[in-house]
Amino acid sequence: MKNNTFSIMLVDDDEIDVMSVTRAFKKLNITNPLYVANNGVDALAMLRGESRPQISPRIILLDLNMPKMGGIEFLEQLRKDQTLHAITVVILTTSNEDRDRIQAYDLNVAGYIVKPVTPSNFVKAMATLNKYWTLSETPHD
Amino acid sequence: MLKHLSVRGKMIMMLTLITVSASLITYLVPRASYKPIIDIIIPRLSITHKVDNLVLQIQEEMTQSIISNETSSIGHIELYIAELETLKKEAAPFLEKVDEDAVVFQTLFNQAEQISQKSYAIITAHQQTIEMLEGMKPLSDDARDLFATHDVSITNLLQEGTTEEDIFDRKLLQQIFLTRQFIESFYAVRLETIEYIANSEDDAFEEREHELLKLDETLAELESIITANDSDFMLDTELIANFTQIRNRITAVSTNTVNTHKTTLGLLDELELLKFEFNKTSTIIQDKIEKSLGDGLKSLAITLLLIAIILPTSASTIGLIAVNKIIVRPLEQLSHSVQKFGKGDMSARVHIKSNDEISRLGNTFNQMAVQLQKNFSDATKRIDELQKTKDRLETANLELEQFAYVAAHDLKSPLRAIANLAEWLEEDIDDAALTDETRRYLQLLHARVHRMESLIDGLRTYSRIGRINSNAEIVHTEKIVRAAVHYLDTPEQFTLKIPPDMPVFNTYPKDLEQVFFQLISNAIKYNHRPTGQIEVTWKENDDFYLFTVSDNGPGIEPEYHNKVFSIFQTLETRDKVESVGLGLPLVKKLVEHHGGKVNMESAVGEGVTIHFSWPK
Repeated sequence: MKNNTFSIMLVDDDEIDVMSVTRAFKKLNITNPLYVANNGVDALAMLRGESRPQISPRIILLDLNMPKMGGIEFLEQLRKDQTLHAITVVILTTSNEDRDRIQAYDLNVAGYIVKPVTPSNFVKAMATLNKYWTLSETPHD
Repeated sequence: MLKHLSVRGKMIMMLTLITVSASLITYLVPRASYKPIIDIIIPRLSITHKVDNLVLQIQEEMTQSIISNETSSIGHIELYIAELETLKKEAAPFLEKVDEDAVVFQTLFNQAEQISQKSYAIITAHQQTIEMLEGMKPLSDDARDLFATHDVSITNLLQEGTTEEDIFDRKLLQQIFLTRQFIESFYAVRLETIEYIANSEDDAFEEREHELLKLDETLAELESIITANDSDFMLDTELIANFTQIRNRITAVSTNTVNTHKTTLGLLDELELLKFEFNKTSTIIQDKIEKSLGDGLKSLAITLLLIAIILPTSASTIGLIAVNKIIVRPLEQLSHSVQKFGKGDMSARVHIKSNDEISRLGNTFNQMAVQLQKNFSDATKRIDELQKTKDRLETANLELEQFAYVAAHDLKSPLRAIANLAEWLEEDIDDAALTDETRRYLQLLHARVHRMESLIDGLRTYSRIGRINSNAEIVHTEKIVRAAVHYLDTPEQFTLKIPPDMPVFNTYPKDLEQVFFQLISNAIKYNHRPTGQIEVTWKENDDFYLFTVSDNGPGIEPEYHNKVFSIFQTLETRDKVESVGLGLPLVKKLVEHHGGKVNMESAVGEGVTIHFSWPK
């Protein structure tokens, strides 16, 4: 198994959704550092070092419906950014709209997960995701 | 104007011109060509008819007079003759006219005059005959006296006895016989004369002659008896003279009457001839007049045809400038306005100042244009209103879609939060602290959260039908059905009966999938038997495939058949069967969206069969 100390960024405005992720991590013994941004603007600021601490996550878990800057707009900014464009992004959202899926995949997301309603299913989804990213090879690290 | 018109346009133009020209006859046809018609032919025709009529009346009067011995007829005939005179005076200007028709016209009058005069003569003669016959009446009275004398004589003779003087008796009886014979002949002559006059039969005439001879013979015999008689003979010479007078008068009257009647007959024959000639003349005149009228009309037609031909080709070169001004320009204006109007310029109107048929046509066009413009503006207003309504509906639909989307996200997030928090509570609280009751509450909380999620999903799916346009592609209906059965985790004891030749056709796969999915889902979900059976059948008509999905479940009472197609309507309480009441409404909306129909056939205990049609 690879060194899994890389950091993960969660961009989500819903406090309880954030909690689900942290609880799932805890339950699954995922120890990777988890940074949380509440919207696209904050997330970009953190990634570009405009606010402390600057972070360089290998994976971003991204919600779509957020205030200030939504997930799709954030993705567009990210893919245009010279240094950040290659980051793996997995959409984690409540939106089941085809339109959102299509837009997301057009912007090279690694996955699109509709948030399961029950916590147990959410934990299962997180487990699968963890397995996936621990298996995935990336250009750096 | 004419250059840019099509051939058909030119033809229409020609027809219009002919029509319009016909109504403009008074402007265009030289007055000379129809003047004789009005000035001479028509008056002559009218007078001919009057004369004809008069002659007819005279004839009738005369016939009537002969049949009924009316004495007033002479007066009537005199009146008719006077009328004919008046007509002749009236006709004088047309009689003087020097043309070939005038000669015939003159003949007509001559013949009519002759007829009336002859008729007058006949009636006069007839009247005289009547009078003469009347004159014979006193003679009849004489004869009656004679009979009376005879009767007295016979009575006297009978009183004096019959045995003494046989000769005397014989002579007396001879006298009586002869006298009776004379009287009988007299009556016979009178009868035959009347008969002859009434019927003009030759038999009656001969009978009359015969009776006249008999009358003479009888008289001669009587005379011879008297001259050879003794002094005591009762018939004297005075009586014979009386007889002779009677004989002479009856002969004279009868002969006179017969002769007069013969004259009358001759006159009637002549009259008949005259009448025949007169009718001929009258016919000739009428024919001539009709021919003149025909010629007049023909010349009119030719003139009109010329106008029709000349106008479109070279109005200016031939120099019909007046015609050009009267007809061509107004027509051009009319045509121009009609074209403008036809191209959508609703304000196009015709302005023709003249007071003729073209201007009337123009006015009619203007009235029509005003009406059309009004109707058009009404229609435009209505279309605007409809467009606004359509826009409003589209906005409302868009808002609804937006709402469904928002509902999906914004309603589901708090829902999920509730579910999470409930579970975390359950996890975090010591198992010891949780009573069975609180555990049950938490379970119920989860179940309700799940139902709400289903409701939200269902609502969104339902509101999306018809909004999302997928592409048509070849669909294997058997595969769809089998996929639905598979996906629905159908219990193993359930059997699916499906025909081997399910149709393969081009349609919208997602929608048809959804329909089968919902129907098979219902067939499984509501089946009370452990060994459920689902049967799919199909047939087709010209435009549709007709599918059925049946089950062997409990069935539905007929009064609920319509209810189950309403949204969020469930028949079982939701606690018993987890259902949101969206399946059949969804099927109905999908099928109807594609133009098909859906209905249910079911009775309690006999399962449910859903029929639906899907366009080919």
